[in-house]
Amino acid sequence: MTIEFRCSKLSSEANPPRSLPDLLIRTSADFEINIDGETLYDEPDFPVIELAASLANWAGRDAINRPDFDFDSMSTPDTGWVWLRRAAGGWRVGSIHQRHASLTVWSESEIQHAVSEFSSRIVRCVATCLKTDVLRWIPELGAR
Amino acid sequence: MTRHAIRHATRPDPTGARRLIPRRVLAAVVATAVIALAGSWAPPAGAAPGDGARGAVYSYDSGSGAANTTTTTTGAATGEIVGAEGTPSRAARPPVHLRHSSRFVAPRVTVGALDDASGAAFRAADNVADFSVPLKHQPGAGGNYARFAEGVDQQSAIRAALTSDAATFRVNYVNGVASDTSFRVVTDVGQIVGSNGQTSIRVVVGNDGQIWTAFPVK
Repeated sequence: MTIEFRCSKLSSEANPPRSLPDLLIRTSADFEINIDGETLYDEPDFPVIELAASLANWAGRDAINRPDFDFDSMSTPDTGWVWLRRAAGGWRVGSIHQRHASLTVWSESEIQHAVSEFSSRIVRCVATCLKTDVLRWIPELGAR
Repeated sequence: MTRHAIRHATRPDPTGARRLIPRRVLAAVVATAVIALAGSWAPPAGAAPGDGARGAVYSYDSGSGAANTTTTTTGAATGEIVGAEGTPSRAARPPVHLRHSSRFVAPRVTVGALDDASGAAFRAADNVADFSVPLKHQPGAGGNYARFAEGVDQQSAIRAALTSDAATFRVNYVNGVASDTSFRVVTDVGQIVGSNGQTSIRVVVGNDGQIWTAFPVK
């Protein structure tokens, strides 16, 4: 089984982005959590850079003491639009707006891989679509 | 310069570790706050650092420098700015009332942090004409986002939220980390502004007075 954080149609209301808020708030893409080809959650115009950076910071913490991940976005009134919760042997993934619940438990390495791939994709997409080096503002995305 | 009246209340922090003002923000303003208050405030007679379990309430008049104390119930210290009053200068500022339950240094620090945030909020209100609400929060936008209702004067509503006497100041999280360069203002503006009947607005403000984003909340 595979889990993937996908994004497409990246665009920015501030083109080119000139500040951290331009990247985190005004740059967005269609987002999807995909498990084995099936959509668990999707959202248009999603703050994907903010999510990637939040996931990167979270995944960079000590795995044993790391708390659950609840995406606290500056663009959403509530947390948990993306969440990762500790379960026996790993992590469950979901969203408060998910289409259905997934009981799959992902290992630490599978989560690390998914987060790393997502970060890399964001860096490439921002460079390609917006001609902007996102690492200038969010270096932690390059550490994945 | 215009400021909100500040009240530092003792009450349980419902978010646990999520403090209204992050430690780094408090640390960053220590020097300014201490300078502002030094020489005009001292621990009340009979009280000692660490006896905050009793919950001393300190009233500090930043205009005259007078400090008074009473006692209150204990609780986790959280910051809140209430009230909006025009104050033409620091010297003429109206009384700043604050309570704390831990250490004497806390009121000095907290007043500075909240005062800085209040000033930034009023500067943000002055800058509201330069701000446009992101597309995802506009009427008719897709997704699960909070949207402004049709016909709402968004900039007027945001300006009202930033200067209201009902404004509350919260920590802003940037990439999962409490930010020391921005904060959130949440205000019930007393009228429906959201497409789902919301009457409150959350505004994310940079410490430099720039508005980062704004949208309706319940």
